Amino acid sequence: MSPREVESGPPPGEVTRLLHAWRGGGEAARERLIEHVYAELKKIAGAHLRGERRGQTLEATGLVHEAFLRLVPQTRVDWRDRAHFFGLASTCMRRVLVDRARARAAAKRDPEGYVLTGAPFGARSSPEELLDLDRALERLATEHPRLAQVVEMRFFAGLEVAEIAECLALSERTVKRDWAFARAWLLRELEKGV
Amino acid sequence: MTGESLRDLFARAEELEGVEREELLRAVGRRDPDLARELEELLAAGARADSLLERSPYDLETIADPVSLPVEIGPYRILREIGRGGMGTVYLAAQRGEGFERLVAIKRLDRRGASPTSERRFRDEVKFLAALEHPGIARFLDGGRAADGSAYLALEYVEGSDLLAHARQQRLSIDQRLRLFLEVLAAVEYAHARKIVHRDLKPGNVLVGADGRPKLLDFGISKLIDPDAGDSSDAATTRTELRALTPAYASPEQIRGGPVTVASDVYSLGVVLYELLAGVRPFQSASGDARELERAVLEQEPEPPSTAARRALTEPSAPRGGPEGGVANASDAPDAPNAPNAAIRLGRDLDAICLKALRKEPRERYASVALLAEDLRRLLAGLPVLARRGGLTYRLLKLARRHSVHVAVAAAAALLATLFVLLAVRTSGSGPVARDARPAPPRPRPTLSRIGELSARFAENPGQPEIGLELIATLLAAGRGDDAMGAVVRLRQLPGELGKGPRIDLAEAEAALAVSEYQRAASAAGMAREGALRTQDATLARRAQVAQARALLRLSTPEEANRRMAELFTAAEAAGDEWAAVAALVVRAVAARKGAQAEEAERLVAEALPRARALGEKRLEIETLTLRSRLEGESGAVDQGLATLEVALALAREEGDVASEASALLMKMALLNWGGDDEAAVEVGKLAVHRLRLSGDREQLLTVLANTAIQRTERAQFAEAEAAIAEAEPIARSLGSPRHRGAILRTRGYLEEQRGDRPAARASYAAAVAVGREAAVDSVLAIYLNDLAWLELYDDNFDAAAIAAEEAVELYRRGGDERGALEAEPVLACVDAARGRVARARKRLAALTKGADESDSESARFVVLIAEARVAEIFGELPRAVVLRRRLVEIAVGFELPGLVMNQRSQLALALDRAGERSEATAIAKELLPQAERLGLGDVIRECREILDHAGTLPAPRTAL
Repeated sequence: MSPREVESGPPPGEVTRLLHAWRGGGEAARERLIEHVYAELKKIAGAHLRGERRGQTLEATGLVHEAFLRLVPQTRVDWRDRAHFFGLASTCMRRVLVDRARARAAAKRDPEGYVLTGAPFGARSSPEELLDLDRALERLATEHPRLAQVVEMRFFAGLEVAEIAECLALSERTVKRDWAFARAWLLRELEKGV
Repeated sequence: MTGESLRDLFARAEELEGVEREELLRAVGRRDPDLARELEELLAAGARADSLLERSPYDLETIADPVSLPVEIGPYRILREIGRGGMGTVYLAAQRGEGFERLVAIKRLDRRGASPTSERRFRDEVKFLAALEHPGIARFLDGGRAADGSAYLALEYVEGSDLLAHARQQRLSIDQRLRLFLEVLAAVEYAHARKIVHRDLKPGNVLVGADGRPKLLDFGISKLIDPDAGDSSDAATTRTELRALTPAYASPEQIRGGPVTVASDVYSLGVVLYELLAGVRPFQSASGDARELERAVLEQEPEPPSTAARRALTEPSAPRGGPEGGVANASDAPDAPNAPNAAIRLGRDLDAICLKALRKEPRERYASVALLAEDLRRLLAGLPVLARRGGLTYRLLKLARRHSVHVAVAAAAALLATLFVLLAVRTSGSGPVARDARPAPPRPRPTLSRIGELSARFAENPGQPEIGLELIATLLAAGRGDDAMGAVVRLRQLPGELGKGPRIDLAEAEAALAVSEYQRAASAAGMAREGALRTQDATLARRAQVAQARALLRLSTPEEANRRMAELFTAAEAAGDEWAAVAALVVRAVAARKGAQAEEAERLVAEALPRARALGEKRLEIETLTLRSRLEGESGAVDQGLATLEVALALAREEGDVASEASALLMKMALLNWGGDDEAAVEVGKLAVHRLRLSGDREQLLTVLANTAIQRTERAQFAEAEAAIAEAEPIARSLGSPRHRGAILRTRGYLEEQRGDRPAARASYAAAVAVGREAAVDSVLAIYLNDLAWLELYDDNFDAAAIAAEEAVELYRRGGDERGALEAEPVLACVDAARGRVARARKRLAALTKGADESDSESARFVVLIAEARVAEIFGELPRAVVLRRRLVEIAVGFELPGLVMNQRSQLALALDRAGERSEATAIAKELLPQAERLGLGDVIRECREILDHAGTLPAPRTAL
């Protein structure tokens, strides 16, 4: 990571401040947070993928965790900040991945052979799969918003059940049930092939 | 029906099996058939959904056979892989502690099965490394074994670009590169002091962070990876280490599998420095074959980096700035800093420094990283570098060596370089201080009568600061910085508002520039500018800016001065302030030269010169001409430079401006020296010193005087030496730094010793030691102690000699200065002999002789030989003593220093006398005595008289050196 990229991040302490503002009910703070976290995640994922590592699975948990450690000064960690951050980061992670998939899908359709500047994730699976999932999740969110959140956290941010429970202030048992139901719901939705 | 109840039902049904589940479905169906159908669908989907969303979305995205990432290593949670190398894999991980969490780098080592011994060594080493704490070294946090038994290391996670990439991206100038590199050296030095050798220094192991500070990675790690590596007892395993190394940066001994020491790091640093400066590495393998590269490292002599930089520039493969080449800024070239200028600036000293670090033989390299750093600092300060003048400058650096060690020093050449440094900023600090922006009428010549007249008027009319300001302007125009400063002080003492205000601030700034007080100049200029802006005197503000930029040239970077003057130039052009515009151009030219941008400097000089001429500003014109001559000289056109200088000198004389004249004279010395005309350079030097006395630059003057005193003492010209010291002493006191005072004390002690005034010499050396302790610089203190030790030994004060010598040896060794130690340790051999420890004395002497032969240092050999002779005398091996003394005389004759030769001949005479060869002894004494009396060599006179007095009786067993 070049020094310039490091410098362009939010000033230290900014993310903590926004987290507190958001917890106090500030929706504007949430938007600003998403901006920062989205930018950071994109940067980390991009830097990582540019590194041309072969033979290694990229772990969502690692990315989100890294973003957290980079954005939130670690001198006095408030574990509530952490939970909120992880919850929000999963939304951002979803955006990062969906954006990439969208770009890849567009590139595939473009007869000119549009080439992405930031190396795409790879060519193994169709980006459409991820886009379908994204759309199904949208619909799930309209009917069961909390379930969509659990899926985001588990799937896009790789959070453990315990961590999700912590973020959403639920029992682990509830999270497990939500997860099972959401998967069934999504599979049915995807099979409908809308 | 709400979603919750569907979810509850789903959860309940999921826990049921077969019949029970069907019963539940039927029960729901009875109440709500739609709900039951949906529930059934979901349950069916749920049964097939086990694999859904189990793969991470990145699996969809990565090319790859997924290799599992460890979840945890020790107490660290792995986030992702960030690197992979010969030594293992590096992960980014999170460390979670009580109330904190941070990013760390984890290295998992591919390490061979560990025996209990190596396991213990691993643990010891880990503890050792964890103690390394330096801002320039990535912290070593922890080391241990993961659950699978593999060893891991936890290190501070550092973000940044590697050294070369950083220099390239930020387009650092040579000076900036050197300063950055010095920071790297400081970190390595720190670790070496703790006996930790890096063993794998390369640009990739030096990361420069967002704050521009470098951090070293992997200190001492390579030893952990292969704990046997570098153990000279086991060459087979050392060889294996190379696989983990980067051959391009490995030293010959590492490739050969020899012992790895501090010198290996010095070598690798040499490669890094070379690449940082020249943009290419000293050795390349065209085919990329590792064996070929290794052979080159072992056998080829690297070409000087300046040559390599020039070649890289002309070779078609190297990208150039632009198609024309002419205006194109070659700093666009990938690695080389401002390449064409670099080729020029890299010459001479930097070549010598790089090549010394890159010697094949470890002992021929810098003995320590500290010495390499010192040489680079000397280079940056414009002082003669050790590498370039080898043993000679080495001694000059330390001012005088012992008389018996003195070698004819090309003192004038070294001295030149010393003086040369200040040239660029030296001259005109002053514009027309008390003038307004209107074109200045021709200034009256600053004749002595004019100065005297103003001085008298100022004294008579203390209430008129105008007169004081005019006096200062006149003094500065005459180059009389000290006197100008005195007048500033008097102005400041005026009551009330009279002694204040921006014009007086500016006068102070310009006077301070003239006497090298840059900090003071910068702050006074800053105040002048603020005050001028308050009173809306834009012209004055611009003048203050020029003074400020001149101070910044010394205090900050040339880039900063250049930036400010570029802005000033625009403003001055807009305001029609021609003086400020020209001054800005001149300062920019100076800054460009300092920043190694010769072409830019030439362009600015060409622009400034006609404008300075048209304006009638002689001082700026002289400064510009002097700068041009320097640029010409540096590009190899020495004769042209000398011709340019004659114009500058004529102008300076016409103006009566001694400061400008002194600068031009120093430049002339330098050019004559470059052109090989040393005699003429020395003559010009005398004149320059004269002018310096008038201009008031004390630091410069002190250096010249001290060097003169040593030169004169060496040639037994004691009166001249005494005069130089007498002039230097008050200057050293007023400069106040222990280093300055110590240097002069030592110079005086040397003179006294040579004259034979031993009590005085002892007092001076002891005072130098005290000042050296105050300075708290080991390398300097060691030199002073060494002086004292030899003096005490000569006087048979063995205890005092031993105490001083032991401390000197320890300090030299601690600083990695083996050569210094070689010059102090012979004292201890003599002390051993005198105390009757025969075997120990012999053993020590044998080791010293070997060390001196290997060191390739003439002075070390000479000193060890003296000790041998002395020990032979103590043991009563008289014929052997005579043989050794004869050899010493021969060597001394080769040094062409009369004082040294006579000292050695007198020692030979004493030895002959003792050995019973009295006729030869008497003959020598008879011949020596009148010469010694004429020159005032006290010791020689005493010794000769002694021989002649008891001719015919057995002489007292004097064993003087």
